[in-house]
Amino acid sequence: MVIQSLILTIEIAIIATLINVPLAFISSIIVTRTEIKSLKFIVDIFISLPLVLPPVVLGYFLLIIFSPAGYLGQILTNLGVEVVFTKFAAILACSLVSFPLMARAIIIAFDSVDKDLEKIARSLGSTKLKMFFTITLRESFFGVCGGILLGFARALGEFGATIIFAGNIEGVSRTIPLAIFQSIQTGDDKNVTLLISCSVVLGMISVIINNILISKSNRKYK
Amino acid sequence: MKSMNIQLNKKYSDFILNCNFSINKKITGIFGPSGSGKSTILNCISGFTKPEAGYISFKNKILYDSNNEIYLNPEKRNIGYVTQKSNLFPSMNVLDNIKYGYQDNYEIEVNDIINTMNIQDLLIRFPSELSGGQAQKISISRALASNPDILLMDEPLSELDTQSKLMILNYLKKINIRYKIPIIYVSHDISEMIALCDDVYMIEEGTLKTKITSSELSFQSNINTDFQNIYLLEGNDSKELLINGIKIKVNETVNKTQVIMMLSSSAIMISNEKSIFDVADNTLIGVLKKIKNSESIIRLFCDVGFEIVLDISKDYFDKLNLKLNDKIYVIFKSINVNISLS
Repeated sequence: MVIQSLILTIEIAIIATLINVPLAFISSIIVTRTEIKSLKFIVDIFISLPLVLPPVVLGYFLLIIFSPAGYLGQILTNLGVEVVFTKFAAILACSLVSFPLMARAIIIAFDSVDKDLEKIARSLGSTKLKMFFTITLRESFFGVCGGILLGFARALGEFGATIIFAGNIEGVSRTIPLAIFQSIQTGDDKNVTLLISCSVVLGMISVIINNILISKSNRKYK
Repeated sequence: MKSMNIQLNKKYSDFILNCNFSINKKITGIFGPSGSGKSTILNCISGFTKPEAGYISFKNKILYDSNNEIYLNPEKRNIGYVTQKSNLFPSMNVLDNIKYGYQDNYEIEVNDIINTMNIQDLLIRFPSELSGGQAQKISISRALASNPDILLMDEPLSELDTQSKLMILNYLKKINIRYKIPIIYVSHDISEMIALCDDVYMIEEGTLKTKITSSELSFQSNINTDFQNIYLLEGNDSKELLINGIKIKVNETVNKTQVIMMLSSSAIMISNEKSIFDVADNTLIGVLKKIKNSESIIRLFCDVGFEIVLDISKDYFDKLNLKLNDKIYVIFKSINVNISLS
C-alpha cells in the first residue's frame, strides 16, 4: 500500500505539474507583461482564487462541473469519458490547488527581470518571442524552476480537493495524504509512520532543491 | 548630408514634446535638464514610445509616419541603444553579450570591435565581475555588434567616475570616426557635450531649440560648479600634447594614441603679466572673450588658440581690472592636467 501510494502520488504530482506549467507561463506573462489592465486584473484574480479558497470548496466546484449532471460532465459523459472518481480527477484536483503557487512564483521570477534588458534585446534585433526565450526566461530560469518545484511539492501534499472530487480509491486516487488519512482511520500506526516519513522526505527534498534554486537566482545579480 | 529626419509630437501631463530636427554622420548632442524630454526623443526614435504624430526616417527607410500609419517595431529599426545603466544580460558572459545581436553577414566584425574597444581580457567575465566603466564599454560594443545604422546614447556616463567617463568619451569619438556611425548623445552634463558633440540641440520642457555651438553651451554652464575643460587629442610619445597647434605640457609621457585631456576651471589662473606665476609650466597667451559673473566667482572664457574656461575670485578679477578682448596669460601646472589613456 505504501509503495503504491508513493508511486501514485509522484505520478499524479508530475502530470499535474506538467499540465500547470504552460498555463502558469501564459498567465504569468499576461500578469507581468500585458498592457491591458483589465485582462491583467481578471487573470490575477483567477490565479489567486484557488489560493484563498479551501481545497474542499475547489473539489466541490470540480465535482459540480465534471459530474455527469454538470455542465462539462454532461458533454464528457456523452462522449463516453468519465472524470469523477478517476485518476484524472485526482490530477485535475492537484493541478487546480497547486496552480496558484506555481503561477505566483513564476510571476515573481518574471518580475525580477529588468524590463530594460528586454528593451535592449529588442533594440538588438530580437522579436518579442526570441526576447522571451533568450532573455526573460533565461534570466528568470532558477526562479521559474523554483516555482515549478513549489507547485510540484504542493501537488504532493494535496488532500481536500482530491478526496471530494476523486474519492479515496486505492490504486486510483489514494495518494500519500489520503493513505495517511485512511491508515489513521483504520488505526494502522505502522503505515501511518511509514507514509508520514515518505511525505516528510519528499517535502524536504523539494524544499532543499527550491532553496538552492532561489539562492542561485539571487547570486547571479550580486 | 542629412541622414536622419525627426519630427515628433507627444503629449505629456506637464508638457508637449515637440521637435523637428535632422542629424548627419557626426555626433549630435541633445542637452537639457532632467525631465525635459531628452530620453523620450530617443525612445521615440528607437520605437519604444509611440508619438501621437510625427515622422522619423533614416536615409530612405521610414521608421515612423503617423500620416501613413507606418510604425516599425524596435527590432526592425536597426538602432543601437545604450542607456545609463549598462544593462548587460547577467547570465551571459561578455562575449555572449556582445554577440547577442550579431549576425555573420554583418559588415562589422566582432573581433574588430573587441580590438577597437580594447576588451580582449574581459570576454569570459560575467557582468557582475566588471567595473562600471568596463560594463559600459561592453554595452557600447554590444550595440555596435548589431551593426546599427545609428547609435542612441541616453546619458551613458552619468553613473561613472571621472576616469571611466573620460575613457568612454574617448571610445565614442573613436567609434564615430572608425565605423562612421552617427551618434545621438543625450546628457545634462555640459562637459560631455562640449567634449564629444559636433552639434548640440538644447531642449526645454519638450521643445527642441535651435542648434548651438559648444562655446555657447559652455557659457550656459552652472557657475557654482567646476567646469571641466575636456579635449580629445592624439598623443605623440612625449610629455606634450597639441591643441590646435598649441603645446600643452603634461606630467606623463603620452603614447601615439587617442587620449582625453581634462582640466578643471578652478585649476587655472589668469594674469595680465607673464612673469607672476613662474612655478606653473603652462603659460598660454590669449584674449578674454566672455565674462560670466556670480556673487563670489567670475567665470572667464578665453581664446588661447582654443577655448579654455577658468574661474577666479571676484576680488582677484577686480584687481586685474580685466575687460573683454584684453590680452591675457592663462596659467596652469602640468600636474593639474588629467590625461585619460584607453
